[in-house]
Amino acid sequence: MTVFFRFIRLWHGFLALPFVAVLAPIPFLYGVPFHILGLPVLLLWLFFCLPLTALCLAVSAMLRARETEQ
Amino acid sequence: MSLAVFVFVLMTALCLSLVPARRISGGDPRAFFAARGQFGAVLFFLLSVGETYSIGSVLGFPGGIAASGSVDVALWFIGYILLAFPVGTLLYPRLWQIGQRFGAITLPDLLGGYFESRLVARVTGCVLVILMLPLGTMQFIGLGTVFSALALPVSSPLLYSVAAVLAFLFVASAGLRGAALAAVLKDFLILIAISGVALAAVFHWSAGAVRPVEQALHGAGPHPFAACVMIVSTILIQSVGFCIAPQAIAAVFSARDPETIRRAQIWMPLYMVLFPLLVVVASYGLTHPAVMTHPDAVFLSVAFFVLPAWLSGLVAGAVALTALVWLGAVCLSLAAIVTRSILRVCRSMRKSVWVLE
Repeated sequence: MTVFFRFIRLWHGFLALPFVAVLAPIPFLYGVPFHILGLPVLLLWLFFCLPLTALCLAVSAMLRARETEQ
Repeated sequence: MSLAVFVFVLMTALCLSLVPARRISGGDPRAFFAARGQFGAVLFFLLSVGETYSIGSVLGFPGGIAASGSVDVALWFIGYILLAFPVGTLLYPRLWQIGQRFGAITLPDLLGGYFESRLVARVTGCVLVILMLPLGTMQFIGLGTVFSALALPVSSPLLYSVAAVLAFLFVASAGLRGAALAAVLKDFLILIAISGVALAAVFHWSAGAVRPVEQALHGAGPHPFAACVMIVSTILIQSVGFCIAPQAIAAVFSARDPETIRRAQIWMPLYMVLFPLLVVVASYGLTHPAVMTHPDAVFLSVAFFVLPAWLSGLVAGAVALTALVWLGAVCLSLAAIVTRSILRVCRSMRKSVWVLE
């Protein structure tokens, strides 16, 4: 287990963040009777995850490049 | 008018795919099937995101929402494609490096080389060919929807045959380079098509709406727990499956280096910003049922209702192109798999048997 965690880097965390952002709210927001612009709030949250994922990938790439330079 | 524009779009794409034909020399399979790993970030990006807007996305996604009246389809469909990009960021550079080591241009090449087993290569190749056939059939079903919308006075078998020949021609002369150039036109047109249909739908929204969106589009089905399990499990499994489709691997091997892949992956989630517009189109169909001839065809029905004839033809051409370019690219990948991993293994086995005799 220690060997596994030794290979985990911060940039891996930013690759995992979109999974948490997309999957974690599903059980809580699914079926919530709250709409914005006629659309369910979970669907709008998923739309927000589109640029969020791009941002996470960009930060991950930046951190990885910095680590490679070091 | 719409038919003329539709034919013009397809012919333009065909001409574009023939442009790089002269540059392919000497029958080098790596040049034909994987563009010899010469694609920079832009071409690799355009080839890879072709998967994002396949006929399943353009017609099937809004069609699924319109048919079910539920957001479940939207959640798992967008979710798995979106999460495939972080998976690809981690997986693709590694696959590229291992592929370089073994001179692989297909996934069976890579697995056969890594495990030093012809059986692994052949089994992987057979599994991929079998699994891709239903997806290929789906493209033809989508093309049938386009032909129906255009009301072409030609028999369906003839239309499907012409479509198959066109898909073949996209890749026959220049391989992956031809498919990449056709994909550039396809992506440009599909951006215009989806944006145009959604904006026109919003503009015409107030005329003929029978109910508000919150009544037409249900936020939850009757079994929330089962639905959540289905959505989460589908997203998790498909986000990995999306990354190992044969044409995705072919695109990976076309990249110049792993950094090209990582740079392109950053922008791919932003390419999905048209999916909210597809939800708008599906919502328009749900709130204006008179427009929607059939849920599967909601995108084209709305397009032909809200847009002028020439623009409808452009939309139909863009949708047809998504199917044809996909078919061409997938058939190219499968051709490489069959010739390199299945038939070549069979031929070498027959040779071994002859020598033993």
